[in-house]
Amino acid sequence: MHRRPYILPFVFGMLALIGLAIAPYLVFVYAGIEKEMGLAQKIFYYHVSSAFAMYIGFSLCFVFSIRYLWKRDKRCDLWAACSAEVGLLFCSLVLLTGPIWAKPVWGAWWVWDAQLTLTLVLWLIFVAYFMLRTHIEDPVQNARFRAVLGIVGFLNVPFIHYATKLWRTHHPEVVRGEEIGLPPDMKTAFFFCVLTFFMLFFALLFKRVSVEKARDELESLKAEMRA
Amino acid sequence: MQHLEYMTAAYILIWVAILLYFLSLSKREKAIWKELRELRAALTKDNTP
Repeated sequence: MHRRPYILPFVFGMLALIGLAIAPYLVFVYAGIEKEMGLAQKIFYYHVSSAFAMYIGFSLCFVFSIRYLWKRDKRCDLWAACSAEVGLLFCSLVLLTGPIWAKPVWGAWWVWDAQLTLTLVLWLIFVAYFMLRTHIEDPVQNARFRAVLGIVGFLNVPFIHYATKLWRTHHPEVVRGEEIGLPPDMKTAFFFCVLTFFMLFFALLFKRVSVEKARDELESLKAEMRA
Repeated sequence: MQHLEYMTAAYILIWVAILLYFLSLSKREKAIWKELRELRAALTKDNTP
């Protein structure tokens, strides 16, 4: 038996690799150094890009979870779980790089403001999502509970994105609606990093799905042998 | 070079985390495919008259 050619992870993986090779040049050489924050400002390029990748992950989980509850299609559960896992990876990166930026700029690793707290809550919800996956034995009940949690978790996302508008927060607001409050060189580097992280997100997602599909195939083969 | 250490720490963390996740996916995929191949081979062997 031969391994199936997985075109999508390969294509997106190559695009992400090209992006990741060019992005450091744009971030460290092309984009200027911000006067007040110094080099700490450069964390922003990957931090915000990770946040956008996280949004895609949890949005896809939301869409596939609704579809699973509606259609009871096992494939939707698989895609929802994989999107949530990759989304959780980027959410963890947001929560880890945020404090590294905050320490030199705010003088504190963490402040309990709305945007940060809601992101932490979102992370905890999706950690619970994966705890459910290992703790409920009935696969149908497991998928149903996770679908509900995936939907509830996603409802947090718009509040996180608009937290700087809804509440008085410490977090800077760089993206204001369609306007980006950055000079042209920083804007170019920023958009390039966002695009690269989108490619990276989809490369990891397609890879994760291919692993899960292979696992499903293995499980059904084992069941076939037992029968 | 104000705050160079913070910037370096953040970028190393991101790259290492993504690399580790990718490697763990590859490892899982390799193990599953190995098991699948072995099962298929065992099945074919059993079915051969």
